[in-house]
Amino acid sequence: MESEKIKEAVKEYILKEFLPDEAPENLSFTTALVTTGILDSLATLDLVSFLEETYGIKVAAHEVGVDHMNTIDEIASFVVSKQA
Amino acid sequence: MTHDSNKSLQAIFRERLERDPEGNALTFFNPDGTHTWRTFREFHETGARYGSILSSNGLSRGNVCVFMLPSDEISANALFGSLLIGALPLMVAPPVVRGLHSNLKDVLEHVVSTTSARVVVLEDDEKDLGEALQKSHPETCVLYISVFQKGGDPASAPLVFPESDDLAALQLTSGTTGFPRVCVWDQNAVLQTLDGMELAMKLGKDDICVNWTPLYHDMGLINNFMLCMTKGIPLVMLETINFLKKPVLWLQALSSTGATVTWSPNFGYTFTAQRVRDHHLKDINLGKIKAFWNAAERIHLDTMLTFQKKFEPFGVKLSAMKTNFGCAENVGGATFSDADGDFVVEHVNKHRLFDEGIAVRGTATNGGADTVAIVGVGRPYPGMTIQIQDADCNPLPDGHVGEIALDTPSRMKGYLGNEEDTSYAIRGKYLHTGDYGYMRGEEVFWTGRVRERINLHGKKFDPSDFESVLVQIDGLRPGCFAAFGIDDEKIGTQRLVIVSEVRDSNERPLETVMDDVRAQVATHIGIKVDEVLLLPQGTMTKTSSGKRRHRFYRELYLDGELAALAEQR
Repeated sequence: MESEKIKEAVKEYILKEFLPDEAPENLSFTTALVTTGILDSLATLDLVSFLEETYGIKVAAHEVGVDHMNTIDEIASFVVSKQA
Repeated sequence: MTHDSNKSLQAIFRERLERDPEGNALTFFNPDGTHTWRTFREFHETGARYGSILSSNGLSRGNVCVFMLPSDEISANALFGSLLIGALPLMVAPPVVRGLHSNLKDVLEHVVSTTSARVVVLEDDEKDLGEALQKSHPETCVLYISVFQKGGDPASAPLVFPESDDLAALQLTSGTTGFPRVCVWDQNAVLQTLDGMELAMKLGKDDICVNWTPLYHDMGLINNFMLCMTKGIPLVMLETINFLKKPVLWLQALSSTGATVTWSPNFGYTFTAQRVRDHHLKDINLGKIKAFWNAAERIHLDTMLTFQKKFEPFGVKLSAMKTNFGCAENVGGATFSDADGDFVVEHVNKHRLFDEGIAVRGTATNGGADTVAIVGVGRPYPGMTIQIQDADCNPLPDGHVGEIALDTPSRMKGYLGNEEDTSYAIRGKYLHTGDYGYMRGEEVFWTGRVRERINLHGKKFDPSDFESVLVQIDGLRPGCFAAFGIDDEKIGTQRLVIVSEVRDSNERPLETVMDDVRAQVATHIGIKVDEVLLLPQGTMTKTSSGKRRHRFYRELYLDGELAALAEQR
């Protein structure tokens, strides 16, 4: 349940900040974000900052990567694991 | 406080240690706003410990040590330690986002081969990269940062005091072959730059500097780290990644440490003005800052004014907004706006500027459709002279655009292993910067690049950097592309545009091909393509020597004359 809320919040943030002209239905939870260039390095760090402030987590530099942040699904799983 | 001709960086570090061991040297400003100053004695001792560890792993005087590390405290210690033992540090940018920039291995292999690096230091989680490097370069010692966690004896570090004509350090700059070039700096050139900067910036004993730019960029390495360590100026460092995540940290560091001086590329000012909200600014006071230096990419008048206006209620004065031009080939800063006055702006007729190369001042002060604001980047530091030259190296009169050529005491020795590019850059007594500009009196006005370089967030890319990526994309015609940057004042830096021919035989949907261009560039180079345009096969001409004409296609793009089959923004 918490994971689903995180996914929705992250999706809303990405649409608002980085894809303002995109139809919401075009951004799925499995859309590749980083490897497609939707999020560049600055945008990825912006998103990390959002996650840290919203969910009270700390993201280390080596954790900012494709492994944890390429899709909204992965981002939500990462946040949940950091909260555990 | 200029150096005598026999000195070296290391001799100056020693003098500072003896003169002011308990003076503040360096502190790292944490995301929670805390920081702890380290005295120069403490920093020297830690550096010597790191130096002893590097030495015990085979690094000695004159050897090259490559660091691919984020600009954190460990990186600063390791850099300083390598200098203390007379090694030649070379800082390489690590990926900001892990898993991207997959051509990094090729770049690192190229750098290690070119420099015959004795030691390479990587982050602990770069083991795969380290093992591959060790395999291809068995003579190089690959270390990971955890090697510095313990051990090492400061007293056993073989401290070295080089001669003024010995080499001091190496620095990467963008190349034209898809790989960076390696600038070679000797001791004298580095010290001349630092002396020139000190004079031009009018630095004094009460100055404190704040830096968020990375140590692998010459702005972080020379204009901040080396300048502060040699001139006795306390340096407040923010890890670059922390600034990018939360730019208000920069302002908090400036406010809470008594800082007076700071640096940023143009985009950093735009980024901060856009990202920082008023409610972040509680208790911020920027009234002590006498200089916000802007350099490393095109300086936009709007950026300077927007930043100053936004933070004026918190003490930022227009007279504190400063401009600079420099390049790695000159080691660091070359021209500086007036340390005691305002930066200079000219509003010139843009048609005459771009069509004829002549800067004719108009009467409009802003906004005229036919005028463009050109921000002056200042005057050369004392001891340097500048000439604007035509393609045959003849001097041009005031107001005429040509290549900015420096007669500079801080000239690099050359590009390591690259005589062709060195002989282009150093002709006669002049260092040819590859930058276009004009002069008015002593003031230099930067207008663009001779070579077709792209500048994204202060980092330079050459169009050739994209060739090896584009050639792998199914549907594109190999070698038939153009890549260029377009100034975007809204973001304070350039947008990257890639134009490519698509094969007649291509059967993939053009949208898929364009997605692939973005994805491959993001994955291999770690940057975002802002716009992709696909053209029909056979429509992109080259020069008579077979070279691509990136500038030509940039002009067509700006004029709206590129007949694209498809485009994606």
